[in-house]
Amino acid sequence: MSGPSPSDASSSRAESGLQSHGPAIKVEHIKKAYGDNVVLNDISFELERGRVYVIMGPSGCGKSTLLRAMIGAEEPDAGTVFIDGVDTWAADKKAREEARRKFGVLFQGSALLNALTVAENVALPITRHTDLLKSTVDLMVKLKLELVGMGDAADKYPYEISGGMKKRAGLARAIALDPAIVFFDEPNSGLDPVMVGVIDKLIRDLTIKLGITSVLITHDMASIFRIADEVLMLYGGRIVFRGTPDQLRTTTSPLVRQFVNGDPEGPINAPRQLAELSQALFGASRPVTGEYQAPGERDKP
Amino acid sequence: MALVADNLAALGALINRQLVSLGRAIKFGSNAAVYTGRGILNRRIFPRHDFIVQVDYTGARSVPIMILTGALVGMTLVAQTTPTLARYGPKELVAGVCGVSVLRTFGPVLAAIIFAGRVGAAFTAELGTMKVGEEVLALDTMGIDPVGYLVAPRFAAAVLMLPCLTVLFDAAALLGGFIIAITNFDISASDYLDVTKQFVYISNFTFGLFKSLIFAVLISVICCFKGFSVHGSGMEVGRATMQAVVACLIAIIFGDFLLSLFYNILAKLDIVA
Repeated sequence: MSGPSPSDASSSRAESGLQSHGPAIKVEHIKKAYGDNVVLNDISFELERGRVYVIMGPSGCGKSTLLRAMIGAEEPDAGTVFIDGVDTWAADKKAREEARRKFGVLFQGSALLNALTVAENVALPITRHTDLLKSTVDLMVKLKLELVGMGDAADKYPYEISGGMKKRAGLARAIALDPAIVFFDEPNSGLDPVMVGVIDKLIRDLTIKLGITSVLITHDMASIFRIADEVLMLYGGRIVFRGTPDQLRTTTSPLVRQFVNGDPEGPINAPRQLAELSQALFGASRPVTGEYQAPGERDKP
Repeated sequence: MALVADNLAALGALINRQLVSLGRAIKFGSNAAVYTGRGILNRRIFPRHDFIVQVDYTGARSVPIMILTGALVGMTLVAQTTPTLARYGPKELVAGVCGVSVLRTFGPVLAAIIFAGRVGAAFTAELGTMKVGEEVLALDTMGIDPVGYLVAPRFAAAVLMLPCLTVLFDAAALLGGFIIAITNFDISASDYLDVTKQFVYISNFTFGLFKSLIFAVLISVICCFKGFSVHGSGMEVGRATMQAVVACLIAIIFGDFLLSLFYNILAKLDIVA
């Protein structure tokens, strides 16, 4: 997707309180395991400012765990995450709260509070963290809702609006305090193709207009090629690919190619699961159509 | 021998899990109490509107069921006790039996049980659904403490409203018993009231209210804690709600037993009548 350079929005970024140097997000040696299942295995990367990053990978590869570690919802076993230079997992509660003020999150199900109207949902973080007059808050809410095309639905309750509208309202709430970074957890799940396009365009536009850093967790390939500046692929607890969408298209890595093309056979362990299911259903004589291959070493673009 | 060791290990693990859970619940309850205290001073902790909504939901809307069940309990108590008392002595004594048992135990315990079933279960289901829907996580990532925002208004409303509802329950039960006694068992109103005055002390009433306050704390903490403990799917919400109600029933009955022992100690020390 083409458009003006994100760097044009430096003034918006300055207003959002983001530092002017260093990476927006720095993930350092994150490790997370559930019992014997190692989900994140010493992951480190840095994300620059004002760009759209997509973290993709097969189901169960640890994308959501990584997101939860980045937004301070699930503490990693080791390592830490710096949001705009502030340690999300610092022992100091004030520092953690400061880190949380720097980002917004659009959750998979939007996570709007059902007891509040759309406008009240968007106003919630503003009233909680500022001493602005009600008239100013109302103006800010109206502005945010207009930005996502939800100006007409301000007085509706979340259960009165469609899935796509909920996503947009959730996005308006995520940017209510002009954060420097916005995380999107599966922003397109459950939406029709047209609405997926609308949300993708909205994410891209907001990234440019507001100068934010957008981090999407998704495995929707069409969206990835439409909006990503850079793509990271997670598999087997490690980052196995990092590059631009063009590099993603032309990669020679069998693992990444299988994921991008959606092939049922290949190094990703879906064939093994199929083989196990096949054996359970039809017995051991059933031919195995694919072999499990452990995650390979990082495939540099 | 190995079987015994395995069973003992399993029992130990179970006790350990329960103690850890109890510790977490106590910490959760302390947080809720602190946030409620802070919320009274600072309206940003929990908006007044949320508190009023909870007062309406937990209190005002519980009034009809409290009055109905209270009246039925008083009427049943008198209807079942009077014939037995009449065999051994003056049947007017039923006024004392009814007054003391309603004010000291039946009122606070039954009101608390109804409250747990109606309001406590709703607390767990609401919060559990919000947990599954990531609303709790969303609040957390917005820098809004979910305990302060969601639990404190419920906790404050429960602590305020359950004693009030217990008063209503007591009044309905006493009135129901009185009506049945004078209409069905030929006990005069003046005799009934005289015996009531003779046997029932103000401390019976105040201690009953104290009990209801303790029960309100137990119910709100248990139910909100269970709601916040939900993980995974919507099915977990139903399971957590059932567990919360069962835990509340046990806590209320066990709590009533301990408080009754405590009352007896106070009576021996002549602190209460």
